[in-house]
Amino acid sequence: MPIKELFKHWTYSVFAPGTLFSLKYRAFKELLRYDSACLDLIADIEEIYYGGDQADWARMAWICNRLRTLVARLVEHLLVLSPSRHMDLPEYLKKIDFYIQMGLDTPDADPSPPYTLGLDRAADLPALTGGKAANLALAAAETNVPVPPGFVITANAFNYILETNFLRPDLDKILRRVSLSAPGQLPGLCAKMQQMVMSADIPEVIVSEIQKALDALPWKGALALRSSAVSEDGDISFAGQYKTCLDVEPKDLIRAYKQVLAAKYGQEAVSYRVLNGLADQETPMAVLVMPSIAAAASGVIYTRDEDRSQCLSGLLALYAVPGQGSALVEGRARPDIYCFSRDPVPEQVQCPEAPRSSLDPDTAKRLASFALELEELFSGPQDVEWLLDTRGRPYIVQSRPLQADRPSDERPPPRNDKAEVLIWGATRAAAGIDSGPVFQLRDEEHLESVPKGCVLVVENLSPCLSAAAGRIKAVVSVTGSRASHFASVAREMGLPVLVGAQNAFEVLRQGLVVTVDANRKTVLAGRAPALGSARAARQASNPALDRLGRIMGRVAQLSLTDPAAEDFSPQGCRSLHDVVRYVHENAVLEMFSLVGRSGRGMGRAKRLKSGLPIVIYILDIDQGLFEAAAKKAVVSADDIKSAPMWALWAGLNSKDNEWPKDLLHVDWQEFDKISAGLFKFDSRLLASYAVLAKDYMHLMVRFGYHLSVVDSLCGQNAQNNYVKFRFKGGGGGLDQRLLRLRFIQGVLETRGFRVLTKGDMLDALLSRTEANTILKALTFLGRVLAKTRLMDLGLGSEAEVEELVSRFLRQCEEAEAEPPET
Amino acid sequence: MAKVLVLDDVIDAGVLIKRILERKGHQVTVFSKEEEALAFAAENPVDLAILDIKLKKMTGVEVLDELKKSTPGIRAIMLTGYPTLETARESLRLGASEYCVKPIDKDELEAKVEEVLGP
Repeated sequence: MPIKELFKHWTYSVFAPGTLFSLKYRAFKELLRYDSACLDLIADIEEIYYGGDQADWARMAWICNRLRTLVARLVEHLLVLSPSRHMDLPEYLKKIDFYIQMGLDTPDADPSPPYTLGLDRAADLPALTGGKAANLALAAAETNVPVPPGFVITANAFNYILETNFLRPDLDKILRRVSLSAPGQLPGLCAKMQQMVMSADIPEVIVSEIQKALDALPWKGALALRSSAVSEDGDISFAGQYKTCLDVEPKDLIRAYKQVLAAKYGQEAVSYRVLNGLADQETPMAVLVMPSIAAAASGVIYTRDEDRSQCLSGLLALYAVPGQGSALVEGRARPDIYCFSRDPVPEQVQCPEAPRSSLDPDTAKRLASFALELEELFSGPQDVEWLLDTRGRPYIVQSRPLQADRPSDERPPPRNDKAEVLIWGATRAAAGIDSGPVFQLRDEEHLESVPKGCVLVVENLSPCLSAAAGRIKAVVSVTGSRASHFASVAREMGLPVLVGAQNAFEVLRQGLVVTVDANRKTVLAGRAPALGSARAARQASNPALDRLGRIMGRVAQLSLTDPAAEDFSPQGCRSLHDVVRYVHENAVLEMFSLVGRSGRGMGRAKRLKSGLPIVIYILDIDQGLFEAAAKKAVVSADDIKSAPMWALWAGLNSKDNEWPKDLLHVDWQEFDKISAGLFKFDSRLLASYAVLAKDYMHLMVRFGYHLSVVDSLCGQNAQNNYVKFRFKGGGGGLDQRLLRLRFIQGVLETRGFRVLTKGDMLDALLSRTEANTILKALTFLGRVLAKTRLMDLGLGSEAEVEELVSRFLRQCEEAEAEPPET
Repeated sequence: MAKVLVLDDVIDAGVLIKRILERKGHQVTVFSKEEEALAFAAENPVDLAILDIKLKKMTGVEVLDELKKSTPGIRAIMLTGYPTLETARESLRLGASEYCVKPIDKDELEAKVEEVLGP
C-alpha cells in the first residue's frame, strides 16, 4: 500500500494538484469519520472500566476488537493523506495491536470427552464437573456424610453442544449488548439466548453417554437435575442463580438437561455473572443428575451463623421447613431454627417453640455433626443443603463456602439520633447500611422498572431480585429469611437486606428517602450522613475488569498530549488512543501544509488575527473566506464567509467574555517570526486549526492542553445540518474536569443539544434543524467555549456548578436581547 | 548483574540489544546461529535469554524449549517482529516471561529486562 500510494502521490502532485487535493480532502473527511467512531469506542471502554457501565466480557472484547479495526483504517487514511511521512506508524500500531490481541486471548472452551462422570469419580475435577458436583463428590469420598448416588454431565459436554450448534458467535453477539445499566433490554436478550439453547441439538455421542450413566445408576425412579457450573459454589456462589429440576422422569431427562443449560442465560444468572466479572466461556454448565428424593423435611445449615436476631451468634444454625426446601431458599417461608454448639459432638442450645417440620432432635443433631464434618473437610464455614426422605433418612445434597457478612460492614454505623425510626426489630439477612428513595415492587415481573439507587421494598426475597442487585442500595422484605439464596448473594455483595418487616409497604412509602441500617435492624427516615463511598469497594475481585485493566494502557490511556513534545511520534504511541490522537493532529496539519506549502489549489493557509489569546489557522476549501482575503496571509474576522465559523467566532469573541490579562500575552510578532506565515512544529501547542467552506467548518480549537473539536454543516437543507462538539481533557484533577463537563452539559442541554458524557469526554450533538437555529447554537457554543477556558479551575462542588450554569444562562439571555453590534 | 544471551538472526539487532543492556551493567553474549547459542548455554551459566522467533533453522520457540530442558531455571523474553497468537501462547506455556513485539525502544527493553530479572 505505501508504494502504491507514494506513486499516486507523486504522479498527482506533479501533474494534477487539483485532483490530488480533492482526493486528500475526501480522505480527510473519511478520516474524521473514523476518528469520531474511534473516540466513541474509547469512551465506551473507559465507561466500562471506570465503573459507569457494567457489561459482559463479550462486550469488552468486542469494543477492543472493533477499535483495533477502526484504528487500522484510520491509519490507512492518514497514509493516503501523506504517504511519505508516518511510514513507521503502521509498525508501531501493529505492535500495540498485538499486545491487545494477546490480552484479549482467553483459553478456548474444551469440547473433548468425557461427557459424563460418575459422582464417585468427580472429586477434584471442578473444571469438568463444576463446583457443586466436585464438592459433593469430595464429601462422599472423604467423609461419612450420606450423599445420594449420581453422575455429572460435564462442562465439556456443554462446550461440545455449543460448538456443534455453532452457538458461541451468536451468543457473543447478544452478550455484547448486555449492559446492566440498560436493564430494560435484558429480558429480551436473555429470552433469545435461552431459546437458542433450548432449540440446540444434543449430539448423539452425549445422549448415548447419558443413557449409559443412567443405566449404571442404582435407582430407577424420578431424577433431580442440579446446575453445577464451573466457578459455581466457589468464592462466588451463584446461589440460586441457576436451575434445579426435581421429579424428572428418566424419559424427559434430555429436555430437563436442556432447561438447566438454558437457565445459564436467565436474567438473574447473566446479571450476576456480569456483576462478578466472569466471562460466559469461563462458566460452562455441568449438570448433576441424582435421584429425586421425596422430602419429608429439608433446609439449610450455616455452620457458623453470625446472626444475632434469630440465632446465637457464632454457633451452628439449622433452618428447617416441611417438604421440599425450595420455599426456604426462594425466600418465601419462615423456617424453624435450631442452634447447636460447634463442639465435636454438637449440643443443641436453641430449638423452635412450635416446630412445623417433622425433624426430630436426634436427626437434627446428626445433621449438625455432618455439617461440621464438611466444614472441616473444606476448611471453612459451610452453607449446607440437606433433606430427610419419607423414611426419615438424612441426605446432604449440597455444600458450599458460607457467604459471611463482610467485615467492613461491622464498623459502627453513623449515628443520627434525630432521624425518625420507621422500622425496627426486623431480621438482618445481610449486613450493611445504605440509603435511597423507596421503590415498592409488588410484582417481580416488573423488575426492570426498578430504578437505580433505590431502596427496594418487596413481599419476599425471590432469587429473581439478584438481577437488580447491581443497581439497588438496600432491600426491605416482608417475609423471607437469612437462609435464602438472595440473602447469600446480598451478603456476597455487601448489599444490606432486612427481612420480617411486616409493615414495610405501609411505612416505607414510594419515593420516601430512607436509610436501611441492617446492622442495627432498623430503617430510618432520611439519608444517613457520610455514607459516601461505603460501598465503593464492594466488588473486590472482578476477573473481566482485571483482564481489561491489563490492556487499558494499550487501549485507552492517552500519553501523547503535547504535540510539541519530542515523543509526539509513532514511536511515542503507547496505546490505540495515542495513535488516534497522533493521526488526527497530523491529518489536520497535513491538510494545511498541503495547500500552505505549494500555494496551489485553493490557496494557502491563513492566520486569523484577533484580540483573543488563541491562534487559529484557516484552510479555505470552498468559499470559506471572502475573495478579498485571497492574497492576505493574515485575515480578520471580517474576511470569514463561512456561516458556521462566523457564528461560532461571534460567540467566542463576544464582549462579555473577559479574557484575563495574563493570558493576552501571546507575542504576535515572535509568533510571526517562527511561523513566517506558516506555523512550525514548536508553535503547535498554541495553534488551532479551522477547515472552512461556505457552509462547513471543522475547527480544532486548543486552549493549552484541552482540545475541543467543533464540526458543523449549516446549509439550506435542514436535514443535513448539524453541530457536533467534542470536549476532552484539560487541566485540573479528574473531579475538576468532571465538574467542568457538568457545566458544559448543563448549559448546552438548555439549547437543545443532546449531550453524552463518558469518562472525561463530552459529546454534544444538535442536528436536522434549520440553518438559523444551527447558527444561534454555534454562537452560544462560542460563548460556552470562551467561558470554559476562563472558568476558574477551582470549581468546588456541584452546587457551585449549578449556580454557575444559571448565572451564565442569564448573561447569555441578556446579551442575546441586545441588538447586535454593527 | 545478570548473564544474558541474545539470539537474533540479524546480528546487528542483537548487537544493539547488547549495547543497551551492557550499559546497564549486564554481561551480554550475542549469537545469530541457534546451535551456537544452545552450545554456549550448555557450557555457561545464563540467567536470561532474549530470543528472536524467526531464526535460520529452528524457531525461537523451539530454542526456548531446548533451553528450558537443559537449564530449567533460565528466564526468557521472546522478541519478534512477526507476532502470532500461536507462538505467544506456546512461548508462555513453555515458560517465557514476556512476549515482546519489535520495534522495541531502549526504555521498554530496559524495563522488561528489569521486570523479568526481578528484585
